Amino acid sequence: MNEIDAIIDSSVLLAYKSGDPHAKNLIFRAIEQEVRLGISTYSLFLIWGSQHFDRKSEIAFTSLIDYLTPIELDLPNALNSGNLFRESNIYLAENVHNVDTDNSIDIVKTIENFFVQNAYYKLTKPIITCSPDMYYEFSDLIEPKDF
Amino acid sequence: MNKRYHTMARNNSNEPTRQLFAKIGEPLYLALKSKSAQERLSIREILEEALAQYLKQPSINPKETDELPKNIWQKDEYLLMQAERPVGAPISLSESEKKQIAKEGFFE
Repeated sequence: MNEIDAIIDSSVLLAYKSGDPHAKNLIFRAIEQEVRLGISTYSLFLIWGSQHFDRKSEIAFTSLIDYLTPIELDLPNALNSGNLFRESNIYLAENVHNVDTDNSIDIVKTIENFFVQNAYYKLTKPIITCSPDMYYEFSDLIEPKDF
Repeated sequence: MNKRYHTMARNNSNEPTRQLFAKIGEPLYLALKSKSAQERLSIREILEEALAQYLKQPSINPKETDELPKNIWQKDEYLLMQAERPVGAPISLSESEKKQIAKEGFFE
């Protein structure tokens, strides 16, 4: 696990799927094994749970995962990510305070960030994301074009 | 179940043909061979198409060219068949197929 160079989140894979040139360059480097990227299994849960996920997505992402390093959601990861979540100010954040249908999706995505942050603290590897605004009170982030 | 179906275009034309002999550089030949396997086209078809383009002539076999697959899902009948199956259905892919799909599978 320590052999990875960086951690990516679901936003990078979704940007890659959308054809973002920077994400494409990054993922191509991973496929060619020039860089080693880790991804939380929670991020994969989000990808698989997307409303737009279909059979082609499944085949393509399953093929792509072979070139990534999954960061398993094991017991210590779940507990430590939960600690980060509880200690954050997210419960007080204005946009997620009143949970309803519209922003519950945002919360599901936000929870990903705590798993990714936990991997960051555990592995001391940079986080690459296309959605830095989704990380509350965490700023040590890199965009694909800068990695 | 996992039987692979591949399309390999055939030259059914009754037009006269000539045999061509030429020595070409090995790297170019190996790249051609690789492309031939990847695209599932014969080297003859690729050479004919390349020569026609060089001579700015319409494709030797326009019907076949028109029918050339546009993306990875259309190139391979096995993949096309797999794409029509429900999410979660098992699929078996070789390492080279996985790499190609990882690179091209998202882009229509």
